[in-house]
Parts: sequence; C-alpha cells; structure tokens
Amino acid sequence: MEMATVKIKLFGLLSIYGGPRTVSVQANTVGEALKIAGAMGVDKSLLKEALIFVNDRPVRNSRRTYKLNDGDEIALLSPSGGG
Amino acid sequence: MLFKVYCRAFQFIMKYAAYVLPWRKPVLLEGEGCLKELPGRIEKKGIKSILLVTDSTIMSLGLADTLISNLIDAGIDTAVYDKTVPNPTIINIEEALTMYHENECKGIIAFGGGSPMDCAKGVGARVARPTKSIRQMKGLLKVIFRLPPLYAVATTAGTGSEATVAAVVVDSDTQEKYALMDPALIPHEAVLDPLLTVGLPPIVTATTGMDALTHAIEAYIGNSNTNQTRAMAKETVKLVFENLYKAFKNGKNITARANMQRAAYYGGIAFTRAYVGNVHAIAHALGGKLGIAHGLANAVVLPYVLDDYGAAVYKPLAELADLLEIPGSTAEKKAKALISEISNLNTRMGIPETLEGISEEDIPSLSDHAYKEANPTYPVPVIFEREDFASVYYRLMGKSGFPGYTGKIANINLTTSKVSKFTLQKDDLKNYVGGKGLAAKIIYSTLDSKVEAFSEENPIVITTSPLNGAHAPSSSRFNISTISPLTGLLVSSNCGGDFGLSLRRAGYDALIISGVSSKPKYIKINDKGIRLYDASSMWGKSTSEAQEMMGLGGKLVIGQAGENLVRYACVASAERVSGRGGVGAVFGYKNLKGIVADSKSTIATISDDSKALNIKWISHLRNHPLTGKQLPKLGTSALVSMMQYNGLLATKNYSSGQYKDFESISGETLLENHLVKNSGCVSCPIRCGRVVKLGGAEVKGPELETLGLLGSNLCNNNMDSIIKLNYLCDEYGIDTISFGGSVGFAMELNEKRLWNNGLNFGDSSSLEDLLKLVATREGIGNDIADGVKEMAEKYGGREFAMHVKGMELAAYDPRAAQGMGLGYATANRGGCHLNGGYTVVLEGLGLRVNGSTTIGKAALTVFFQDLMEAASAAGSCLFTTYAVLPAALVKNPNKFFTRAACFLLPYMGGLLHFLHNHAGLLGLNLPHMLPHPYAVKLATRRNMNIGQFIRAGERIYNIERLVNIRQGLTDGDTLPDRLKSPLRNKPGQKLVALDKMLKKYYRIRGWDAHGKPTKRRLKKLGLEQ
Repeated sequence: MEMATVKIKLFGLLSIYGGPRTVSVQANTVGEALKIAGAMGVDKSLLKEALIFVNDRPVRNSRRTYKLNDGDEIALLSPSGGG
Repeated sequence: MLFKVYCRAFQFIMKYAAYVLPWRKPVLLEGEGCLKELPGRIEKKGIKSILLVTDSTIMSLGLADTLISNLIDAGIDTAVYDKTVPNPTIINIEEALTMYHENECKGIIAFGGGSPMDCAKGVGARVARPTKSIRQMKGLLKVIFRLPPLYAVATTAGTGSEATVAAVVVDSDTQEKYALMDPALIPHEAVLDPLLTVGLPPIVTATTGMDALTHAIEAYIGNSNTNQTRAMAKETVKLVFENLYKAFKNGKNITARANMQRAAYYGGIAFTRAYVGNVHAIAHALGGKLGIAHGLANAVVLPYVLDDYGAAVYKPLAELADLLEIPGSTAEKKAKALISEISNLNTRMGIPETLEGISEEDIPSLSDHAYKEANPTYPVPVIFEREDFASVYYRLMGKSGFPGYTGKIANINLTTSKVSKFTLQKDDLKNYVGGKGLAAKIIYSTLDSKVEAFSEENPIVITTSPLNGAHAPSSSRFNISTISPLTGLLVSSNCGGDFGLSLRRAGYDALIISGVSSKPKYIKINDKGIRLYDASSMWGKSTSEAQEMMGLGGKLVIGQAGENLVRYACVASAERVSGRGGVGAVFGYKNLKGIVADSKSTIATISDDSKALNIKWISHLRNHPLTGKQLPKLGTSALVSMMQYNGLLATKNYSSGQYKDFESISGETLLENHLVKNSGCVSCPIRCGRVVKLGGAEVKGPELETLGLLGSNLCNNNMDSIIKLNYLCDEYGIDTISFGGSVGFAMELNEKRLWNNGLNFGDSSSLEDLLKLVATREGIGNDIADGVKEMAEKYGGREFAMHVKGMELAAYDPRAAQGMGLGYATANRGGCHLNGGYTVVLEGLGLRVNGSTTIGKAALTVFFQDLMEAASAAGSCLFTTYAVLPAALVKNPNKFFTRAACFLLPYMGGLLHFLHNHAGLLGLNLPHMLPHPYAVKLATRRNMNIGQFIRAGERIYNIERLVNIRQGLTDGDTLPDRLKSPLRNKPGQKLVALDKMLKKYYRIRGWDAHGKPTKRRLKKLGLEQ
C-alpha cells in the first residue's frame, strides 16, 4: 500500500523542541504520524496529550488508526489560555 | 451572626434582670473642704480602725496627710496602704488585705483616683468573701455579700468609681485586665471635695475628665438605659463641656473643679447601670497589656469608635448635640459635629490622636481581649468583631485604616488646583476590597446623576489594591475608572504597570481627579505632597518620551491620542497600558498629561504567613501548564493557532472565525522569527510579555488581541506590520483592540461602499499612516477615532458594527463559544472578554467544554465574572485565576477524567448557580486551589474566605451596573447582528443563542428582564438604595 504524504504542523508547546514546526512525512494513520513526530524529537508526553486536528477537523488522540489521505494536514496543539 | 443574636439576648435579659438588683447611690458628701467632716462620720459608725488605700503619689503630695491626722485625732487607727499602682493588681489587693487584717480594720477609705478605689473595692470584696479569690470573683454578681464600710474620697474627676459597681483589676500573671461587677461593690459613702483636685496636673485633669465624658457617652448610646441613667449621662456631658477646659486651663477654679467631680460622679451612676462599651473594652486591653493609663486611652479612642458606629448612633449623639446647642440640619450632621467637638476638646488639651507603645504583634491579642470583654456583656450600639477592634488599634498606632491600605485617598481638583482628603464610608474597603471595586463604589457615591465623559464632572478614579506590594505574585495591578467616552458608561481599565505600587509607596490608596485644567498639567506626588506642574513642554510627546521627561517614579501618561480625545485612547504606565474604554481621552479632556508618584518609603511589612503563601503560590504558578509553560514561552500569542482550529479567531471584521494565513501571525512564528526574550510586570513569575526586534531596537511585542484585531481581523498577514503598529499604538497611546476593531469596520464599510475611505482588507501598507491620522484626528482618522458605534451612526452598517454598548469586541469570535458570547453581551464595560468572564478558556482553549452548547453557560459566566471581578479588585492579574483550573486536567486533555469533567461541567450549572447564590456555604479557604481570598486575608488581617470573595465580586458587578443604569443603560446586554442573526450570515454559520442564555443569566443574577438588579438582590448584597 502506498504511504500517504501528509503534513504535520506543530503548535504550542509541541513546537518548541528544536526542530521544524512543519514537516512533510509519510504516514497512513494518525498513530504513525505521532510516532514520527516523537522520533523527530517532539516531547512524547506532550504528544500523548496533544490536541489533534486533521484538515481542521478535531480527531480524538486515542483514535490512532484514523486513516490519513494524501495531502492531509495534521495539526498538533497544546492547551492555552490568555487574554 | 448567631453570636450577635446571643449577645443581644444576653443583654436583654441583663437589662431587665437588673431591675431586681440592689442598686444604691452612695451617701454623698460634697463641697469645698467637706473632707474635714469625714472622720466624724466614720467615728459615728463606731469604727476604731480603718484601712486607707491610696498610692505613693498622693502620699508624696501630702494630699491625705490632713485626713490621716484628723482620723487619728478622732481616735481612729489608720493603716495606710500606699502601694497601689496605676492599674491596680491582685497583688496590691492582697497586700492591702493583709494590712487590713493585721490591723483589725473595720472599714476602708479609698483615697485617690480610680486605681486606689478599685483596689479598695477589691479588698472589700475579699473581706466580704474570704474564701473566694479575686480571680474567682471576676465578672458579674460574684461578691453578693455586704462589704465593710467603704468610703470613697475622689482626688480626680474622674473615673466615677465612687459610685460604681465595678472594680477593674489587673491579673499580673496573665496580664489580663478585667472587672468585678456587683452592686455590693458600690461605696457606701462618697466624698467630693474639689480642694483635693486643685493640684491635679493639667494632663491628668484632661484625661480623667475625658474618662468621665466617655462613661456618660457610652452609657447614653448603649441599649440598656433607664430614665435616670439617661438623665445622669446628659448631666455629665453638659458639665464636662462647660467645665473641663476651664479646669484644665486654671486648676484653681474651684467651681470648675467641683463641677467636674460632680460630672465624674454622675457619669459613674450612669454607666454603672447602663454599662460602658467598646471604647472601654479597647482601653482596658491597652491598660492591661501595655500599662497605658485608662483615662488617656479612653480619650484617644472615643472619637474613633463613635465614628465607626456610623448611623447606629446618629440619634443619641444628635440628642447630646442638642443639649450642648451644637447646630446641624440633620441627626447625622449633629452627630458628626459632636464627634468633631470631642476631638477638638482633646486637641485643645493636648491629648493626641495616637498612642505610643502599641506594636503590630500586640494587636491580635489586644483585639481578642477587647472582644471578649465587650461581648456579650456590653449593650453596645454595634457589636464589634475582632477585626473591628483591630482596626482601631491600627489607627491608634498611627497607621490609618487596615493593613493592606494606607487609609489615604486624595482628591485633586484640576479646576481649582486644590487637593483635599477623600473619606470612604465605613466598610467600603471591606465590601469592595480595592481596585475596580473600590473605584466603582467611589464613582457610585460621588455622582448622583448622569455625567458626560467629556465634562468637568466626570471623575478619574485611580485605585490600588491590598495585594499590591504584599508580595503576592502577579498582584501589583492597579485600576483607572471613569465614564467612558466610547460607551458613556463606567469603564474600569486595569493595568500591570508600576504606577500603582509607586502610588502606594507615596502613601495613597487611591486618587480622584476632578475638574478640568485650563492648561496642560501633570501631577507630581512625593513625600512633600501633591502638586500640579506645567506640562506644555510634554504636550504632543509620545508616551515613552513623556514618561522620560517626568523623571523618577511610577508614571501614568497619555500620548497624542489622549490629547486629541480619540475615544479609545489609553494611559501608559511603564510599558503596560490601561488600555480599554478611552480613559486616556478623559485625561486629555482634563488637560492632564500624566501623573508621577515618587517616594522612598516602602509598603507595610508582611507577615510570615504571607511569605509562606507567596512561595507556595509562585510554585503553583510555575508548575501549571498555562502560567508556567505556555504563557512564559509563547505568551498570549500562543492562542492564535488554538483559536484558529477552534473557529474562534475573529477574521475580516468577524465575518469568519478562521483565517487562512493565521500561521504568518501566530505565536509560534513570533517566537521563531522575532522574539528576543519574555518580560513581565513587576512581581510576576509568569512573565507572559514579549520583547521583539523592531528595526535595530528591542520593543514590546504584540499580545494575542493585537495579533487578532490588527491581523486576522483586517486580513493582515504581515507580522512586521503588526509589530510596528503595536509599538506605535503604545507611543500614541491608543488601544490596539478598539483601533483594530474600528479599522476592520471601516474596511467593511468601504467594501460595501457605505463609506469611501480607501481602506481594504488585506492591505496593510496604509495602516501606519492611518494610525497617525487617527491619533491626530485628521482626515478619515477623525471618524475612525470615534469608534465603531459612532461610525455606524454616521455611515450605517449597524448589522456588522462589532461592538457591545459602544465598546469594540475582543479577538474571540463567540459563535464557537456560546458562553463567551454571553460574556461579551453582559460585561459591564462593554464588549470585553475578561470582564465578560472569559469562559472561552473553558470552551476550547484551556479545557474543552462544548462551545456550541448553551447548557450551563449562564451559571459559568456569572461565577467566573464575579470571581474575576474580585481577583481584579484584590490586585491580581487574571492569569492567576487560570491556575485555578486543575493542572492535571489542563495538561491531560485526552485522559478520561478530563474528558468526563469537560463533558459534565455544563451540567453543573445548577450547582454553580446554587453555590454562587449561597456563597455563605463557601465560607472557607482553600489556598492551594484559590489563593486570592486567603492572600487578601493575610494582607489585610481581616476575615476573607472564598464565599466572601465571590460575594464581593458580585457586589462589585452589581454596583457597576447601578452606575451604568444611572448613565442611561437599559436593555443594553446585546450582541451585534452578525453574531446572532441568521439574516446577515452565511447559510449554516453558527450563531450565538443569546436570548436563551440571557434569561437564565438574569435569573441567576437576580436581575429583571431588562438587566436591572432587583431590590431583593441589592438588599442581599448590602446595596439598598
């Protein structure tokens, strides 16, 4: 099966790990994408509790088998507050 | 509350039980030289051996010599005990008792002032009850049996002890001063010979005279009077006012001396039946613990306590004023005039307003003693809590008011250039805490009808808070309130700059600026006082230049925008601003360029408890994901991306909640490409501020609101331009939110051809020039400077005029967060996210409560609005309230317990509603969860718990609303059509279901259908009009 080429976009505390905030990777599921991000050096505990949006749609982090298609964007965010 | 009921019940019973007690008046011997007759009277009783109780001063003055030789001549053996100390001790009594028995005495002469008399009574009591110790006879009716013949010879005027049931003694072991009270202790005969008082030094004359006055007044204003006690009290008051000063000035004035003795005697008769009150309780504790003379203590304390009683004593004090022919048109005026006369009398006789020897550590135990003495026994007009006693002790130290406050508010009139003192009403600090709360109360009390923002009558009220300088983290914030030129309503504008601390150091809790200056001025406040200076050289300068020119100290300044009355001009303090509502324009209208406060003093010391709480609180903030990680690392700018994905990011004048180019203006981009470091307000460990590069310089970086309103809202994806605009807005002194909102509206007016102004969404190139035009009110800038509401009146486009009550909205699009929509609609100062309760932090940002549902949102909004209101009034940054959201929930959005909690929270609306309206149930402190009320308690040494804190917040919210209603607000809790009307929106676009939530909101708040607080709710909050 061909791997989908997707974009992982890191935001919030997840983005501060010393690497690029946006990467293009090969992944078929959300789970795979998260694994790759972890391998890149993104904090694994933050990844576990990341808020996930695939193409602007919220996807529960536990749905690791959520299928990704070519060209999808996976945004990973951490909670924030402000004014 | 229950305790007060108990006290009143006790006093009621005592009052009526007293009718059956064996009251008597001593047989009176009075007149010049009447002392000569005493030995004869004693001899007639068959007494052959008598104990004379006195003190060493009297013996050394030889006052008793004639009497003693006359007694001996009459064949009466006289044992003299002269070791009584000023506050007689049990040791004195026991020594004198030994002498009594050794000499087989059959009677006692008390010769002197109150101390020998009380000592003598103590001896008599011990003779009457040989098996009981003095300690055991403490309190009421413990003596009962008849004393040996007791003759009281008064050498002062005085305690009235010659007529009273009380003997006040000091237990040297416990340092307690307490009273034995029993009609058996009333002396059998009293001798009032004015010749004995002729030699009294003026200060003793003064203080003992004021003691007599205190007896009379405390008796008269108490709840246990009889016709006789009232008559006696009145007689005393009259005699004191007519004779005390005369006796003070000329000790040899026999008539004045005799009248003062009579006054003391009548005063004794009055108070021994009608009791004394809180003044005596306070004075006794000072006497027992610190040895401060009784008369002096009473004299100094009396005016404070009468003042504190307030309306409860207007009537009786007015009656006394009438007796003295003190004029006044109302009971209140007469009462206050009388208190003033009492203070004057003190001053004329050299009695001070403070007392030496009290230190702060003493106050808790002093207050405790006073509280226990007064309650339940004394039928006082107002029952004092320990903190009420503490307040008096603090003032006696020379520290005005409570800790946590300076007790001074200055009123600066720019029209007359005069500075005067502003006095709060009693309990204002307790009920409104400080900051925006106190400001709202001041404005409510000062204005009695509608006032225009640009008018002489509009006051600027600048208030600090009790946590300022109390070493509570992130709690140095202060507030500027006034009637807003943008909304015509009350605006409270909060600021994290250092002006508040400087103002406190200079000795002021608050400033009230009234009137209008004819020329540009600035105000300087330092240890020399408050003065106005010419500001013409500063006029036209930017905020940073003006601050520079004002020299050392904490400053407030306006820029050109304020000078030109831009309706959303702000005030700068260091690099922070009092941003919203156009407070800067009111400064400009008053020709006030700014204020500088400079003082070398420090803010009052804090207790060890405060230090411990401070450490824990800082640690909590540092460990919380929002305040310890996101805000320091990314600042509020982190929200751009979060809002984008939640559909909350106001885009293109709120036509949408998402911006396709959001990444160009995100917090992550700011961090990567522009950030130099973070920064923070004074005393803040969160440090959410940004420092960024601009050209070659380092300047303050943009907050979330600015990124939204000048970025996505204008379809501006140019971060450099936003950074520049942010900098310029600060320099001109303009609110970035209202500016962005106004420009966005102008762009849509242009797009829809309602106003040809040349401004286009997505075109950032002209924005810098536009900002200048706005700040100087030139060209199209003149219209934009008036804000969205005014522009809509002029050009139309009301359906997309994004303001509430005239205030432009913040960057959150509330269609994806229903609670935030309700918050915008109901916030007292207009479309504000923070004053609105900031429920959006629950609805997707910090937690994930369903933003689309209206369930529970009304309760959450009310709860958080009031909590934040109180936190702001206490002086804390609202970000400290985010740390109230449990870290475990915030950090773990995906865990089951978090998802469950977020799901359930809306359904807890009923519980929140209940707790909010029964805040008494939250009468405890949980410093780990909500540190603020506990911190306020430690800083002010006054009771404050979670329930009282929230109640204070509710009270403040309501009084702000009352001001607004007076300013003409009716049915003002609305939202722009774009946010709630389907007609102006894209098909399928979410809307805010405001009406539904508003009904619930009003019900929880106890307001009517028009948003007006009901009488019932106002009564509950103590706000009856």
